[in-house]
Amino acid sequence: MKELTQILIEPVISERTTYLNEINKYVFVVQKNANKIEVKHAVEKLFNVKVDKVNIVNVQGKRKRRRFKIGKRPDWKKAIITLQEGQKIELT
Amino acid sequence: MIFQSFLKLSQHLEDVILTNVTVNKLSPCKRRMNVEISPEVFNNALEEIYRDLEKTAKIPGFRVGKVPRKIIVSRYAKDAVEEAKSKLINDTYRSSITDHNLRPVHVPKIENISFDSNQSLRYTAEFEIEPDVELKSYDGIKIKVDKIKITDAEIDDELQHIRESQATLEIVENSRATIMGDYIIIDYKMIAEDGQTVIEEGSSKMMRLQENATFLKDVIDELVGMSTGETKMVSVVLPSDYAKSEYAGASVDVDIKLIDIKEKKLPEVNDDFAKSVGNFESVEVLKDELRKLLESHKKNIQRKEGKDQIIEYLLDKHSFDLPETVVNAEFQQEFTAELRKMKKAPEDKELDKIKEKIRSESKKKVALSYILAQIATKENIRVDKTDLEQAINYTARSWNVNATKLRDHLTETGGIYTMQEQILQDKVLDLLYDKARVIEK
Repeated sequence: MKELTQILIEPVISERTTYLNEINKYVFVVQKNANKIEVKHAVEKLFNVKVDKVNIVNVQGKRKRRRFKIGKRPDWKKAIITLQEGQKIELT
Repeated sequence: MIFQSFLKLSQHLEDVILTNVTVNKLSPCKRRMNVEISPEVFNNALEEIYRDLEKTAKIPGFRVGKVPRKIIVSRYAKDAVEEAKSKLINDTYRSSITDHNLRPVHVPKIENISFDSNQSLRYTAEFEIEPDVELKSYDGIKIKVDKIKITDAEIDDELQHIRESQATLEIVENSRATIMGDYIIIDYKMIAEDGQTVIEEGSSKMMRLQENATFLKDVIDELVGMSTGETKMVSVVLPSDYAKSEYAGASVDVDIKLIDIKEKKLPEVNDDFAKSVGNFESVEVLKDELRKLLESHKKNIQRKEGKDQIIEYLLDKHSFDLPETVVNAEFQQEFTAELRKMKKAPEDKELDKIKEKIRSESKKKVALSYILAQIATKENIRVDKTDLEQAINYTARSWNVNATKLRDHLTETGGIYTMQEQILQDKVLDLLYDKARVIEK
């Protein structure tokens, strides 16, 4: 069993997620090897809310060039969590 | 004495919101201002800061201007509150002093800033203010000055000075022996007591035979009466501060050879001389010019004497409490200047005396500046640009520096304000002098 705090790495806070928050969806960066069930469990336990569904996106790290060196930011896993109606998370 | 008042805050606030200000008199020149700013005012100020931040904050994930208030508050709350506090303190302090007609002489000490849960902001500001000077009559101050008299002897003295400055050194002919007042060049060789070691050797520069010479007086005495080419052995005791310390105070022999004797030739006073001095037609014209110069010089001295008496009179007639900080600042400045002037640090006792003296002088200076400033306001005397320009040019000329550079320097260091004040004081004193009853003795 993974530690709950290890599964959720950080919330994604941006213009888009601010909008999503309004329709009861919350976005987190999650551990690369976590699955939907683990994420759902973690969110329910940590924020004491009921999760409706979890969508997961594997995000490719951006290719970045610095001068002539080619680099790549690490890939990461994004989880979009939809809460059941009436539930809320205070992120800020 | 406690004033109670309410004042309007910054114009951009739409509603008239009240801020409570009380002023306590701590001493004749010291005030404590207690200010209480109501929560509405504070919140308005905070709101304004947030609104500003909404427009400018750069937060990753958001375009500039699109950051929601919630995020801004979560990130910047602490800074924003601090900023609102300092802005409000600044604003209310300024408006309060103008409202109460207080003129602080220094940056206030702001203390006891308290910020309750209901967000009413309180602080106290302590500062000293300019004293109120009640002007006494200053028309027709009686002053006694010396009458300007220029004697022929003084003019002759001046003439002698000019002659001295134009004197030439000429080699003495028919090789007479030296007398006091001659200029000579010698070769010398200084031999230690053992008769062998040469301590110093060389040719002297042009030196003058003076009776009150301080350096190696014995040698000077021996040099009188020698003629060119003559050699002499003189034994002297070296001074205790002689450069080569191992020989300081030792008695040595000096082998001297006189190389040259020159004497000072003063130009004769005739019309040619007058022309060479400054293109004056004749000696009479030159003398007239000298008389005029002396006269204006003496007039300046007379005026200065008169002004000093006016200052004495003013200080005597007016008495009021001075702000301690200003006196202290003045004292500190004068004191450091005085210490710098002195070659070595004085003893404790002496130091106390000097401090005492400078303190009383500083007090006088500060008092005088307030009196004169008051008179200047009353008489509507101002320092304009041309006055300042003139003064800068004059100073630049006397210090032999570039006027523009001097002006820049003064502006940079703030010396220009001191200069402005000096000019103003001088103008006021000039006015008082013109109004005074001058009695020539």
